[in-house]
Amino acid sequence: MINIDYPDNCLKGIPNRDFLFGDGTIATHLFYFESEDAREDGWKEQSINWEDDESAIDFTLNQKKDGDLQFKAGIAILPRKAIDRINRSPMVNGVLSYERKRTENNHNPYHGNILLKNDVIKSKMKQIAASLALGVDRRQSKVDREQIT
Amino acid sequence: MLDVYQVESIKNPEVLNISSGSSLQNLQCYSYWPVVFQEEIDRFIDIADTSKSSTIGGVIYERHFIPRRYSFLISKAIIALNSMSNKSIVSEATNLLYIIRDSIIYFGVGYELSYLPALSAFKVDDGSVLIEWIFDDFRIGFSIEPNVDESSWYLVSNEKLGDIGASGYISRNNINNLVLWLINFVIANS
Repeated sequence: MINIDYPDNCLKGIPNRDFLFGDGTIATHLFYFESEDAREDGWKEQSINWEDDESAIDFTLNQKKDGDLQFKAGIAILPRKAIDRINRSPMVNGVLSYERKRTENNHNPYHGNILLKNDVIKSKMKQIAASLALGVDRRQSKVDREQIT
Repeated sequence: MLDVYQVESIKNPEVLNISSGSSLQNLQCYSYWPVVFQEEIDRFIDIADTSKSSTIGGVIYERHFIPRRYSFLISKAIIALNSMSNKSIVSEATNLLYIIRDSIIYFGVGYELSYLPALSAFKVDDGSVLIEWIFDDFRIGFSIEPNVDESSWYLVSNEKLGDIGASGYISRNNINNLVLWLINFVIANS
């Protein structure tokens, strides 16, 4: 897949520590695709932000939902190359994709989705989610970020 | 039938004294067991009749308490499972963990496997339970589903191990062979 319009990394928000191992490693279910996220165009989507610039990480870490921080356990930084490599593997074979999709009102200019074909069975979806979790380069929390800056 | 034991004391990190009825037994422990003991003791004292002991307290059920070698691999996952409400899924997941532990005991004869990381259990929004075992270059998972016929497993690796991607359904007929195959992979690649 050639994507000259995409940055090297996508950022996946982590709602809370229920998605983490004790040492902070990402658990696979962070990357599960949900049935209710199936679209009419044949894809299921899960939200990410693209790391388009230096502000993307801070923007994502500070996203709020109902007045609270949306990603209390930070973000997982997933290289786009990892998604491409997983997608090329024989067992996945093109059922993964990604897109840029800004939110309505353009409140989130970084927003996009990782996509999975609707007809992928649940057991295969969970295998793919595990590959995505394994492909995560690192996790960053708001505390980590504040220590850096 | 479960035997009931009463904790008397932990005299040192290597030996745990327990009593069954009136007979006191010494149980030799591996050096890393006491870590597991404390977690297991903490949990089971919570559910035990604490009036039965004046030292540590509590009536402990053998299956959960008598530590077998490599119980440290599953103890955290079992503790997590016991906070979940869907008892049929919890039961399936717990049995799977014991199969994994017992398979490692069986398969690990002659190996030193105390370096293996512990398994973890997660409650998932879709109603399933995820049991995951992660390593630097690969991860193994078991998804126990509300419809048990949909329960599945996976093994995925990174580029270093060839981008392996394997998955399938869990059935009672294949679970022992599946677990042994996965443990063989773990020992060969960890």
